Amino acid sequence: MNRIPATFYVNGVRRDLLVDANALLFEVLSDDLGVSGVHKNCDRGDCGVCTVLLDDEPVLSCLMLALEARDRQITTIEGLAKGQKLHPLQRHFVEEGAIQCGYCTPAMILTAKALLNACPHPSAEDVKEGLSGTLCRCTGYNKIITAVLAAAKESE
Amino acid sequence: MLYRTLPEFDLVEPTTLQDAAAALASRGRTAIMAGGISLLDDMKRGGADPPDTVVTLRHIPGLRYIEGDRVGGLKIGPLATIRDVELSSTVRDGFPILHQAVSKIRSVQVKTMGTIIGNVCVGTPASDVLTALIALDARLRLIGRNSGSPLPAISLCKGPKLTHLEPTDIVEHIEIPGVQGPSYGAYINLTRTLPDIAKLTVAVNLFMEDGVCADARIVVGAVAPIIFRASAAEDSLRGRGLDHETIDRAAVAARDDPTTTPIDDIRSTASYRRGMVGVLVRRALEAAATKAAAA
Amino acid sequence: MLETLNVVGARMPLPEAYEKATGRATYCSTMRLPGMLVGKVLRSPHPHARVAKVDYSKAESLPGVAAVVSGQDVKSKVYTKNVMTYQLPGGEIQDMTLFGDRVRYKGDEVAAVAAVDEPTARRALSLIEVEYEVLPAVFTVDDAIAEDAPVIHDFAPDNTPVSAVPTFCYGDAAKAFEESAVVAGGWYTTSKQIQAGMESAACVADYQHGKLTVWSQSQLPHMAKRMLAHVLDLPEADVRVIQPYAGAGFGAGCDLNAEPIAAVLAMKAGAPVQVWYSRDEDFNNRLTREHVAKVHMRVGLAADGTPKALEAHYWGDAGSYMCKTASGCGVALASNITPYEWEAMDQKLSATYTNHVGGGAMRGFGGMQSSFVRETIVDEAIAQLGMDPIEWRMKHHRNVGGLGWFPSARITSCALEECLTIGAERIGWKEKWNKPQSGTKRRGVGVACMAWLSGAQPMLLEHSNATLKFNADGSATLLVSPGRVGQGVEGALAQIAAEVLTIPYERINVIAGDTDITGFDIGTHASRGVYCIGKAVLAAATEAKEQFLQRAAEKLGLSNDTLVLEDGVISSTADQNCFVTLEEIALGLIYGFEHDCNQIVAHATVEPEDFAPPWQAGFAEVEVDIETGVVEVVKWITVHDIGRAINPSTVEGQLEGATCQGMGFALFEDPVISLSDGYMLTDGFDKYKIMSSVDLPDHEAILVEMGDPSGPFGAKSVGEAGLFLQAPAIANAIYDAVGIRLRDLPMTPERVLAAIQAKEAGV
Ligand SMILES: Cc1cc2nc3c(=O)[nH]c(=O)nc-3n(C[C@H](O)[C@H](O)[C@H](O)COP(=O)(O)OP(=O)(O)OC[C@H]3O[C@@H](n4cnc5c(N)ncnc54)[C@H](O)[C@@H]3O)c2cc1C
Ligand code: FES
Ligand code: FES
Repeated sequence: MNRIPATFYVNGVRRDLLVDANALLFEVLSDDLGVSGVHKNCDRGDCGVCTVLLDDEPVLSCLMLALEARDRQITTIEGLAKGQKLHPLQRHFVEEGAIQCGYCTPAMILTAKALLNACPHPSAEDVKEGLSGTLCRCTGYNKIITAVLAAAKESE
Repeated sequence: MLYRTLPEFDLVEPTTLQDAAAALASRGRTAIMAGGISLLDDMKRGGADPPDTVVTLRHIPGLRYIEGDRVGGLKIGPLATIRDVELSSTVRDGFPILHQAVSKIRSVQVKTMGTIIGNVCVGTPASDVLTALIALDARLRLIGRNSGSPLPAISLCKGPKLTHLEPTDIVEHIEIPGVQGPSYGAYINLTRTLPDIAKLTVAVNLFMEDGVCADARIVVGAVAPIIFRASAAEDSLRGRGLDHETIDRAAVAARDDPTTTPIDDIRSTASYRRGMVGVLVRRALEAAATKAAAA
Repeated sequence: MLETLNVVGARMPLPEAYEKATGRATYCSTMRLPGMLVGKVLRSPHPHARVAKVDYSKAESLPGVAAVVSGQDVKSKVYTKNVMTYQLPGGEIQDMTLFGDRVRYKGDEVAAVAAVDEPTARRALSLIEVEYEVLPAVFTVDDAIAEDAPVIHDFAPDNTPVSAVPTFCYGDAAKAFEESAVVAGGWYTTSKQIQAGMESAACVADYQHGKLTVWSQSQLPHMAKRMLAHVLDLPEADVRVIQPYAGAGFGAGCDLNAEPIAAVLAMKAGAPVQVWYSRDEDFNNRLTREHVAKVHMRVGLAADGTPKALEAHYWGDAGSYMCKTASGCGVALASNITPYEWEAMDQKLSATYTNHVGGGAMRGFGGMQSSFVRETIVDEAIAQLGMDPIEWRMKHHRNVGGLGWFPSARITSCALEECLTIGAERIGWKEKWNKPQSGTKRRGVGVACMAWLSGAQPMLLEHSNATLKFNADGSATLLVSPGRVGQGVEGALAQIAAEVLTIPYERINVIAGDTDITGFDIGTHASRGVYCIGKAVLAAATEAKEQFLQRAAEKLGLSNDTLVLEDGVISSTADQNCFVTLEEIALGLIYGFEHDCNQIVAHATVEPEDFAPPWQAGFAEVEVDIETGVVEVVKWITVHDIGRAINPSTVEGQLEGATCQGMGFALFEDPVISLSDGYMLTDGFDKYKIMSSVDLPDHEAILVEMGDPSGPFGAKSVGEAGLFLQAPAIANAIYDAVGIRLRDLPMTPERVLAAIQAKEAGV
């Protein structure tokens, strides 16, 4: 198996590593780069809780080789708040009660961020479509949808 | 390193299709990777013979394209994602069956990563994408093979997740022939929850001349080892107007087609699937007929 | 109407939400301790076998392997992963031994390894040599009770250790049925639903200087600690259970997962070990919902609708280990008592072993199955009498003072009629119910009701402790020990304390999740958190308030009963200018220089007596496609008698999330067990579907707040309440739409269509 030197830009910070060909992006982020806000469950593309943004697009870190993300901008949940100041999505998730166990939350917020990038003024239906790749077993989605709509409204 | 799910392999990163082809030809058990979501999933499931070399297409410039139009025909490149196709106005307006089919895939992440060609090359009999592409008479252009005649999508598969492609084959693009006259299509599937893989897929594409069906494609997936065209049903439509009796007759013919051989699995039962072939084909034909009548 | 309060009743953000929104929250699966090893379990490939020999010498000598363990490394102690066994005086059935010499399902634990990384651990597993003597196996109750069935546990030769045990019977049922004008009933089946939280089972164990620390997803940490001490033969003082946040519970944290294995590995390896199940491993090995596999029920009503009799036999499929199956059936039967005034009830339960994964507990424990069966049969009987199902329920539900879910318990409050009225109005019952339908897509509405509980007293031990410690600035630390599964109870408990002490919510710092720090608590199950732990917090806060008043009285030279506490200030009722702040008192008691320091620390222990049933009405409007059998839920409404919502946002969140799980149970969550080897075929989210955002019907939760005299500030429970009624109300709505009665869950299109076709064929 080959190992390839790779540069990642994780939340704007350059990280240089020697990466095994078979390492998944999730594995490099959580084990080598100490990013604990990226979670994993199904390992198969079905739950979306491993979602991170790659050049602002939502991707599944459990189904992507780390090497495929090299030289690109990777945004994880750690990259959203500025110091103590939460990103509007984070703040509305907190205030609306859109977080229960929180295991889906980093992915859900990042998926929502990608949605708002592509569609800044979404309807509730747009939000449902945009988030459907990220499962939440706890909330029943209502408060998540409200939080995303509120964050969208705020940036108007 | 703490966790590592995939088996070991070499990653090859060619920058031209020729180099990719060479890499595939010169090594042992190889696999092409486009978006990688099916390939890596398969490798995690630990099939008997995982590839020892993975050749990624990502570093080859110019492979992410959707070109052409309804009349001249469409070409989809190896790195064009499902999302690209879903958002393409050319596809939405000129090839609505394909647009409807890709919209059935819900996860934005899957659509962002997964490619159209990758989906097709997996060869699952429940593919929304392949069902629609067969209804559009799509063909696969392979590098270094069948130079004159691309492989029709209908002839791609030989069984569930089994295609006629060799590990050394690279699909250079998928082409959909242009359409001159009016055609009316519809795409319907049945799922347990909306993001689920379909328990049944149906696409119809009708070509009308003077209120009469000149030609028809009726494509059914997930009820046989491969996606197929219900030819008796198609025959029953040719030369006729799209009245209720004609549509019903075609739907029954599709249901009773000898190729319709569904199985019981965790998603559904054989008998339900068979019955639904009739219902969905009828509904798809009705939807297409309504569009034809409105035109 | 309830009086308006300051902090209680406000929509406060949860204390842990900030960490969770920023990715700073720790879960067992995200822990990466220095030197941590990866633990992996070797599982039986056979559904039933004797383990003749385990040789792990080759695995042990693989470089990178730190420890390998199997039966020879542990004391062979009988135990159960079901730590709730401690809540009954006689305990529940204990039928497990760690790495025992018998495996009883495909996946049972045989050995385990800890290695520097996952590939090494996997390779080591493949080097362990095991000799099995394969035994015949059975996968359904019917096969397990057959004459010549293989015996799964030697102490239960007929595989049915709990056999037709009469439970909660009263009156003369036979006579009551004779006097009934209509009798409805039949056989029903329900599914072995999966809790399916977004975090798979995970735990970490570390053993240093004779002390074991286990990071666990347990919802019941103190009892988990006791069970670990038992299995590992350690004094309780040497076992510490820490709960990072868990990626959901829903009952999956009522039982141990790999905690004993991680502990044994850590003790042998001398390093921390993480065991994190893959998703398929989780599906196939984590105890599922208590499986009430089959139910036979009949009800009889008099001609005027009077409820005469309810008779039922519940049959649990325990799988390989009993865990919570028998008690799940018991709770299911108990939950039939509260809703309606039956003249007689005759119920019994059986539980049978089979060779697949055992049944643990899931949210809605037992009540799910009962509400489906009871509410659809009652609907059927009401329809036979030509009555309106809402009016019937209005008239015949039990009321305050009436019989509770456990014979010695009495109903303390009931707002069911308000729930029914609000919901009927909201769904448009008058306009929509019982209207003839035609065409391919047919609409109908349905209703169902239930009464649940707020803690499992008086049947189970329900014991909670709370401690409040005050800082010198008058802020406080609140020590409690609930499950940390995202249910939001820690915020609600802080609200209760803040309300009593009239200080801001933010000044209560909740500390939970460490058995070395917190007092004993049962933990989180049976919807007990806000009610039971809340009562302990209320008592501790009241005690703290007394201490403050006492000190203020001394300071001001007045007597206690002439003082009031408002907004953190204690003042004389007679003279507003005579006051002292809590902050001043707290300061003086910590940094006092008159040799009278005495930090305010208040502790309370409670064992609640009442079960304070929350009532609920659920309303569904559905559209049934009669050609495909597809049921679309057009609208869902939960109207919930919460007593008082300590945090309405959290209460709604509990109900809304539960609604989706209830819809899954009703319509598509369908674990499929192989009949050839007992393996869970639906072992991933590609196969076992849960609701996504695009599947979401229009749904809402409405709260009715009329208070309960026994609850903290009138609160009753909500943790489980939200998922009982989807299955029965949807089933009843399907009947309203197309006239079929469904008796098997989930109500898949396949089943719906078959029933429609059978009806058309006149079968
Ligand atoms: C959660 C989830 C949900 C899904 N839902 C749906 C759904 O609802 N409907 C549906 O139809 N599909 C669905 N899919 C399938 C999905 O669309 C495909 O997995 C995806 O498009 C594959 O594309 P890829 O680029 O990732 O392929 P890859 O994984 O890169 O490749 C797949 C296969 O094709 C081969 N291959 C790729 N490109 C070429 C090429 N140019 N020439 C030759 N061989 C090639 C690879 O070697 C491999 O064998 C779903 C998948 C997931 C994970
Ligand atoms: S863990 Fe990646 S999609 Fe589920
Ligand atoms: S909050 Fe628990 S999975 Fe979404």
